[in-house]
Amino acid sequence: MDSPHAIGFYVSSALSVGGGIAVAFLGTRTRRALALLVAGVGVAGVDASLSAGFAAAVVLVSFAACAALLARPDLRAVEWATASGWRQAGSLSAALLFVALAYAAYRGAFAHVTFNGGELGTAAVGRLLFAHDTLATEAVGALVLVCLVTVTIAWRMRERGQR
Amino acid sequence: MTVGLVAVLFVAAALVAAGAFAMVWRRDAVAALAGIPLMFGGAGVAFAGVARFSARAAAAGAPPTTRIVIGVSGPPLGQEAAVLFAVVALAAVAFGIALSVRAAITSSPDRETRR
Repeated sequence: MDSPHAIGFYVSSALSVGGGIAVAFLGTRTRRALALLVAGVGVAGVDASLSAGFAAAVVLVSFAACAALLARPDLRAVEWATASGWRQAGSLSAALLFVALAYAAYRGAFAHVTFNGGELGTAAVGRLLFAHDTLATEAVGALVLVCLVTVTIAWRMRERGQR
Repeated sequence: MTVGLVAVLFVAAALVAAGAFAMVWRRDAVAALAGIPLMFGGAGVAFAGVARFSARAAAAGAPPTTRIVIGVSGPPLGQEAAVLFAVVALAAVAFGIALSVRAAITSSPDRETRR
């Protein structure tokens, strides 16, 4: 990987991790959605610097859609009934998860290959998605359709209940 | 300046941990849903990194301490996994919002607050 790609990788990494931490700490819904969008731009940049341009485009669209769903002003907050001790224990568990994953990445001995794919790789990924793993692709597409229909029905039920 | 698989896996681990932290830290269930795409995004970054740096090496069955160089990389299965993870993250967020809307309908009005 040459220097411009490496610089892009590190800048995108900082964006994605910073946006992810901001999602946890920002107060208002609009700011959280904006932070999620920034994190999505970072993740897409990391994917693009790893020569996965098609995956980067899909990730960007997915994060933008998630941010748009979570930024709706008519969503009502639903409080968890958890004590602060459990939240702090969960936060410590997240930190321990990072330490364990980072240790596994640092101690792992990986073999290297020369990558001969293109920058976008759309042809190879398309062959995998629509020829090799067609059933998985259709299953994921059906899952997205069912979930979006479910959220639409839930919204319509709530609107009828408000009338 | 260069980037290796270890740096990619560090970023992926940080993203997964940040998503898990966002999910457990927020009291609001809708706000906690924002951690889901972060966790799936981190997993996707790890898969894309493996596809970029060591796809065919694992298939060659080399010992884990051997550094080998093969001219042709394998099919980008990791990129495919990253694409599928991104789509599944969107589905999970949509389903979580549907559940929270349903919970807001059935819960009492004094527990519903706009944020």
